[in-house]
Amino acid sequence: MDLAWILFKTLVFPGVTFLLLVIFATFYLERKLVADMHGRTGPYYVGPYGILQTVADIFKILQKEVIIHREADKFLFLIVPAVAFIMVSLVAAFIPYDKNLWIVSTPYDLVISLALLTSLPAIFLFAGWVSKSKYPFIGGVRVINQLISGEIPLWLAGLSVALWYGTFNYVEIVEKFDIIGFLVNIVGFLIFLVAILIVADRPPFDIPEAEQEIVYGFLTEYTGVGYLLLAGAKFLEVFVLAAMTVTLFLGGFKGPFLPGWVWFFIKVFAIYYLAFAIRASTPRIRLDQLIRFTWTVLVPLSLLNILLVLAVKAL
Amino acid sequence: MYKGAQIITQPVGKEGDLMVLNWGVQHPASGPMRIKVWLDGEKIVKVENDPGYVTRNLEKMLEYRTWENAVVNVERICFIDDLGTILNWALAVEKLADVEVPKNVQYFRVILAEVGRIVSHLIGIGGMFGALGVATPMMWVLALREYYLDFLEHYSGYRISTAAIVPGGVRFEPKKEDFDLLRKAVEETERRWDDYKEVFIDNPTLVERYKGIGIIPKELVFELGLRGPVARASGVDYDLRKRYPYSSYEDFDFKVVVKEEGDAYARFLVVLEEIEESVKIIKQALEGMPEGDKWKIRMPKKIKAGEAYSAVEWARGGIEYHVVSDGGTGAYRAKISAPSFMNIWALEYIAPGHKLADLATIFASLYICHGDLDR
Amino acid sequence: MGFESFAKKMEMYFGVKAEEYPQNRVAKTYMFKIQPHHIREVAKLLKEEGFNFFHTLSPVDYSPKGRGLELNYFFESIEERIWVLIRTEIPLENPEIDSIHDIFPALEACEREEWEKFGINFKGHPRLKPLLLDDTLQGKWVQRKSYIPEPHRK
Repeated sequence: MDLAWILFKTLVFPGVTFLLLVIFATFYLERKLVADMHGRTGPYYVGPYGILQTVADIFKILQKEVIIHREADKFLFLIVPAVAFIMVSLVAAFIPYDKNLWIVSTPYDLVISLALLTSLPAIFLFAGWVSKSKYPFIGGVRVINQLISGEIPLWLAGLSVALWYGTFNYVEIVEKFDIIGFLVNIVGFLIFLVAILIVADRPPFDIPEAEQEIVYGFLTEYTGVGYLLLAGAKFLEVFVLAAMTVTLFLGGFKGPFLPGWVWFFIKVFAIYYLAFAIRASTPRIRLDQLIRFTWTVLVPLSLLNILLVLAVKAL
Repeated sequence: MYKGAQIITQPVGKEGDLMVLNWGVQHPASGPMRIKVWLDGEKIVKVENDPGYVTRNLEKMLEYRTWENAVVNVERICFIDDLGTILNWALAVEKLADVEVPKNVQYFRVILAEVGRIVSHLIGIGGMFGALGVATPMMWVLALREYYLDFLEHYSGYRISTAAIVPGGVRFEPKKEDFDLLRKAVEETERRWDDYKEVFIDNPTLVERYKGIGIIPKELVFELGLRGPVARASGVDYDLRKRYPYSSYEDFDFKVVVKEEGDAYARFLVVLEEIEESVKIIKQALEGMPEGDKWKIRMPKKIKAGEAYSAVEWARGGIEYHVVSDGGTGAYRAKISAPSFMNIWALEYIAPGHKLADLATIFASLYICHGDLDR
Repeated sequence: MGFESFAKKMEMYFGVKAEEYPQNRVAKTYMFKIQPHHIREVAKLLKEEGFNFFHTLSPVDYSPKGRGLELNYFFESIEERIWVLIRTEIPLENPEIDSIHDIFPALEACEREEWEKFGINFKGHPRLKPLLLDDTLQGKWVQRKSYIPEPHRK
């Protein structure tokens, strides 16, 4: 492969520029779809269908002054959002948007992406810790509590797919995907769906940033660019997790008639729509209720799911 | 970098091993009020209320107003349901002046007061969902509330702070279009209500979060003098409309919603079901509206010396005025005893022992309006 | 228990008779004019006799009329549906009265509010701290008639 093509992939599509677009699109779609469920219109005036409203908002955030708490560690406070953003972006590099449209493909795609996602809570805890403020600190501690209980089902459900197809490579998983694979992994799919809501702090599991309880969790003290990077990291995390779900369970870019990447985005949109519908309809649950739910329902269920996949494979 | 922006003087506070959290004044769920919370991890150990951020001292302001233009101050006790507070003022002044208003005025006042109650309760329900981070119910109830505000706007010219009731009657003669708008609002409520109830009551997550939380025992209601939906959710059958009828409330057939559990979910249900009762009252009042063309009685400019005590069942509970006249054109002294000011102190008793996440739900279920908490 | 025995005991212990108070629009009300130093005993008696629901504490400053500070306590008996108004008068120069917050906890906040607005010293109250008003208004006793607020417009 020539260098120009690699550079194009890294910098334009599906690289940096595309990821920025994803942040814009997620922001816009969330506002528009949730507004629709509220019976409102959502962004309307700026640009056609209010598309440019998001752009205006992001530029407004960029103009904001960066305020740093006097007690806070300046270096860490500023570096944490960038680290979080880079870590999530790295995961996006492994996702195959089409048969040949990926930046990196290794034999260990799944393990690497899960490992990167699993180390995010530590970054968020740091974001809360270095803010030297009470609400961010509580938010950071809540992130650790929530994500540890959410990630084990995520790993187990993801690994059951790898067990079934016998590979960690995303492209191979998608190529081996068929209707039997979908049916065998359907329990894993549902577990994975719940787990991505927990890991990405989506409502009803948005406990670490519960607005009515602890203001904005670990994001409270951040303004301007730092806030944008952290919030962008969270939007990207949603996208990455949705893309992983599509790749692992729904056959990724596979589909009739249309080009592969169109199918991929249709499927991602379906996951998005589900997440937004859940957000618009479900009140937040409490941290102890969530932990009880994950450790008594989700984790045993995902262990049983692995047994099921193994049993079917042995047949 | 701009230097002034970095000045945040308070270090992370410590009182023993507990974390002291200032829940408010700048907080998404607290409103203009501070709640000082002592936390042990996520568990609440102690709670202290610190209201007073929107105090206007209306009691003093009323001493500088005439009997009629005091309405403008009284309705600002709480803007969400302003009609109940003006009704009470009108009743108190009429008691002082020994004036009885005609039956049609009384019926129309009932309509206005119940519209105020519905408008307020709708926001209350939305707020109780809002404390759980879901905005959809809030948007839905605001859309429904708009129909009632249309009625108020057409009648008085204002959506909120209507000044629709004055001592001696109501401000304007209601027109046929006003009643048509109100009928439309009632029909719209009944059309949507089943859908709303399905979503609101049977919401499993809401039940999970509200049931068994913040239980107020019956004894505490008497000890703290709690009023309104908070008292009725704890099994105290106390509704001034039924108990001491005023303004022809005895003519209407409605039931007082009482729940025995006393938890946050019971308070939510009381507020929800009272909307149905209010709709019933409005329909009866629209049907049985007595004939009459006198909508306002001339009140004397100066009212003879004396005093009056008056109380009505307002959206948040009984609001009570003690008005003293010295024969002047305005009140010599007016004491406003507001329900939120009594109900808020229950928080200090019931919140300890719960998780921090429950503080938002308990606070929302106490159904506080900061306007009448501070006055 | 009940109003009958309460009125009898009030006459027996404190020598005050029940008076009708028709100015209350809400319900049948009786007024007792007591001496300020009797307030704790009266409050205990009220609670014993079933007047368990506290409504309002309403002080009125009658100093321009040549009288002192009048305190009105409104109580209700939930079972009997009878209201009782306990009225007492304290001098404005030395406004002192015993706190009854431990007998009726509802009064804790009300006494605090009236301390702040009228400067009534409720003896034995645990937290007579600023509650509603701004710090700059502390000690000015804004609700007294002697306090004239600065006019906003001329």
